[in-house]
Amino acid sequence: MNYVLKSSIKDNRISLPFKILISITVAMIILHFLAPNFLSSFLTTIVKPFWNIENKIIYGDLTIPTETQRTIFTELQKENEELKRLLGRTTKNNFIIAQILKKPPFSAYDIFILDIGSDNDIKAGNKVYALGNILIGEIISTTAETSKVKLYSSFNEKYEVFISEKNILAEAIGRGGGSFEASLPRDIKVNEGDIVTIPSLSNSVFGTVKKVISDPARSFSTIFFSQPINIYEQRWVLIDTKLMEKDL
Amino acid sequence: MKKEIILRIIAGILMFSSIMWGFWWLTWCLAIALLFYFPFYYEIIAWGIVYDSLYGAPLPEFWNIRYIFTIMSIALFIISLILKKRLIAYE
Repeated sequence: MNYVLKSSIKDNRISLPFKILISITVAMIILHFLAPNFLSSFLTTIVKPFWNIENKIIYGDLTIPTETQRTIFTELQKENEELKRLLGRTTKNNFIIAQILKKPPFSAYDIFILDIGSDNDIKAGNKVYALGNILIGEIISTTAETSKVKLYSSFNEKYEVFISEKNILAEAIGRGGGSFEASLPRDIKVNEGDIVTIPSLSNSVFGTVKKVISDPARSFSTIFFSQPINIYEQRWVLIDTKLMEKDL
Repeated sequence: MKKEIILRIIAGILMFSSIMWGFWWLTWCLAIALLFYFPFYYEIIAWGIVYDSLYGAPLPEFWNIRYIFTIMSIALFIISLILKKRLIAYE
């Protein structure tokens, strides 16, 4: 007597799980082209209160509400501008303070999520500074109430930087966690502690050189530098709402 | 049937909490565990979409793909279906 093996019975009908999979995939593709930010905006509005709860638990209930703090910051900024004008020093920055709702290493993506968005005139491309005028990233997308910041130190991100007082131009590659790597010809002298800046932003410190590895067998030396702050310990950031004509 | 629905709701609450407040690797370990616990854990695809909608960004470390976790969840779901057909424990 012959028995048909279970594995050899072929069913040509598309099973229910695959029908569901195909439907979801098609829906996602359509949604991506018709309204790329719809899901993001909708879900962020739902989960933002949960993120605020998290911040309240971690940092304690603020005695001054965030909006009041923002107003105080704006007032102090105006006062600072007036004082600088009196002393003959003017700045063109237009900063808004923002609270970080989510940051790595909790999310797999190396991004910050901030508590303000397009309602506060935040746009993609705006530069983001840690307190102390240290450039850490830029806005990549916004919803009405939140925005996402791509960190410059994200793995494999590439930027042009000036190293040391001699302004040696190099390409910095992000290595994550506020660290970068750059390669320069071995003949160019770079010392540990040298300042790294960004060509378009002369007054902003980008990092300091931590280690220089120079192998006599190689014609290039590797420079490791990191940002002068721990980006994961930040709670507040400043957003420059003025868009640069030429991005990094 | 009723017990499975309750278990699915509890699993959903756990997954949501993990996405909100947990480490990303913990979230995905939990998702894979649930994928093999339930016969058809369709929700994993929804969690992938939620994760990418909240945190997704085009970064070079993920080949500039914003929907990397949605793609991963679909791939995991398909792999689990194939494995469950092959594994004697699911017969």
